[in-house]
Amino acid sequence: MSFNGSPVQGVLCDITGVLAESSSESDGVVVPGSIEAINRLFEAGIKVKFVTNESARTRASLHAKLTRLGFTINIEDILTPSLAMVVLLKEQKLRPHLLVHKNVMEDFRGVETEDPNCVVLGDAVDEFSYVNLNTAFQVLLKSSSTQLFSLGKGKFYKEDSGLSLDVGPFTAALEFASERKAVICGKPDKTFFHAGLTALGLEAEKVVMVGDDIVSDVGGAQAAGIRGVQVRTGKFRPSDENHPLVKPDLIVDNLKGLVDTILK
Amino acid sequence: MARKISALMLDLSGTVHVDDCLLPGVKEALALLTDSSVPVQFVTNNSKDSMGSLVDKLGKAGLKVQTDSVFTSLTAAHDLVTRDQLRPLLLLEDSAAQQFSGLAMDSPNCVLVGLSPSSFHYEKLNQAFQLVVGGARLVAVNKSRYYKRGSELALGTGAFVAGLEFSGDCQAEVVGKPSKTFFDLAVARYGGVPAGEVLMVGDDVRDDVIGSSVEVTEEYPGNRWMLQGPSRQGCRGAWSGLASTGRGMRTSLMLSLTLCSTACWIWPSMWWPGLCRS
Repeated sequence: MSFNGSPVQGVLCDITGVLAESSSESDGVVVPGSIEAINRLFEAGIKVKFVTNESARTRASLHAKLTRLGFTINIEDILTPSLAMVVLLKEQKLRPHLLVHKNVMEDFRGVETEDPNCVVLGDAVDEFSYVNLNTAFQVLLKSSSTQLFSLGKGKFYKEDSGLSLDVGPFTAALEFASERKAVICGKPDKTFFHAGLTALGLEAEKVVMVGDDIVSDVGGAQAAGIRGVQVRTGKFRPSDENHPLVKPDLIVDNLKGLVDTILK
Repeated sequence: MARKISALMLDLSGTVHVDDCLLPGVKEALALLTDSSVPVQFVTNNSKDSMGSLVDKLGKAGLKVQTDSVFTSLTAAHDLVTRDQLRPLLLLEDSAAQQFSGLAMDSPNCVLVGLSPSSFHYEKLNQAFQLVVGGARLVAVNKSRYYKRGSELALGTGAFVAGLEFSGDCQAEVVGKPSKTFFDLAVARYGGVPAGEVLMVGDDVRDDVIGSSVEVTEEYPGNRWMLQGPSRQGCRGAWSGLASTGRGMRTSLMLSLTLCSTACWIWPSMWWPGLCRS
């Protein structure tokens, strides 16, 4: 099992845009061939972890959705930014001011939030009001060392037939106003990919990352020493075939196309 | 070598007035300019106040100005929209949006962002983003990081422009001072006067002087610029020096400004051919 001559013992697989296309109304639409592709990887003994920058749902809710769509995966195989963030907050003994989607608040249960000394931004969608963003800004103004964390820094995601703002622009807004850089907990941050390798128990050279976001998924993986594969589903745009910054190790029509290549 | 000055642009806050106080000598200087038929525009980045309330504020301080002699960053935005025939989605508060009433805004091909807390929420920003990513021009009234609101600093226009630039992978065109666009559009209002014949006077070295590309170090005989360090004397009667020249005196008209807030002196002295008496 290999491609480009190197063995593949593990796959880090993006969820939205690879397993299924997103939708605001329903669970979404399965990308043709994805369910069988994942099953074939398991049957071939290849380890798979599902890494997502999804910060508007808990791992449990994501798992339930994928199960309803027909996928058979273990809940522990899903890695989200909020779960990685909670570990980081506890390690650094930080008390966050949270501006995240209400659905992921339960991931932060048990984390002290009184008298916050940092700000955590997630894909809060309609919670991104001027009042809420300004309140977060006031926390940052407490001191120049008050850290801003962001659960991923995606520019936008594809939903139904249109593009919608992700958390990234709001992080950029607070970075600009407070004159500091956010620490990103999520793709394309190396820490997040290393967490994936740790979960797989494999070295970077033996792993392949597959995603639809050329900068966040493919570029981020390559920066962490992992081969990056771009799919032509999800938020892929034709201009990605010749991206000025990122040259994927492989471009395939969809996840099935990658698995066909690996198992050839 | 005389340098012809055909028109003037004056900054407002810190140059003509400080809060509700007109700086000493301003009235006399402006009267002199009016008598000499030198057109004056008051240029300011203030876009929070509507034109009407800005004129009222100056009126209360003792300065009567015509609405069309005040050129704000919103005026610049309006002139850009009409010059380039843009149809904007406005992210402006109602009072500022009034300046754009009557313009075509269906099928927008432009997003215009000003200081507008009531627009800075997910739904409206998403609407703006979708236009930008579809090719609409992103125009910003200014890019300030924050502004003073009561006792706190609140997120400014610039933060949300930075967000749209990030997601739209683009750079906004800023129309406020010190952008070249601002000064180009202000000069255009003089209808044909070359930029080299327009003098910009202000208290902010970055926004007013460098922005308008006025030479601060070049020396012309009888036409000197001096930029000195901070003065402790605050508001002095520098304008009174102007008043005392009167019309009967020859050679130069001294236009000098004392800048309370930045305490920075700029002394230009110029030749005004129209005022010279031999």
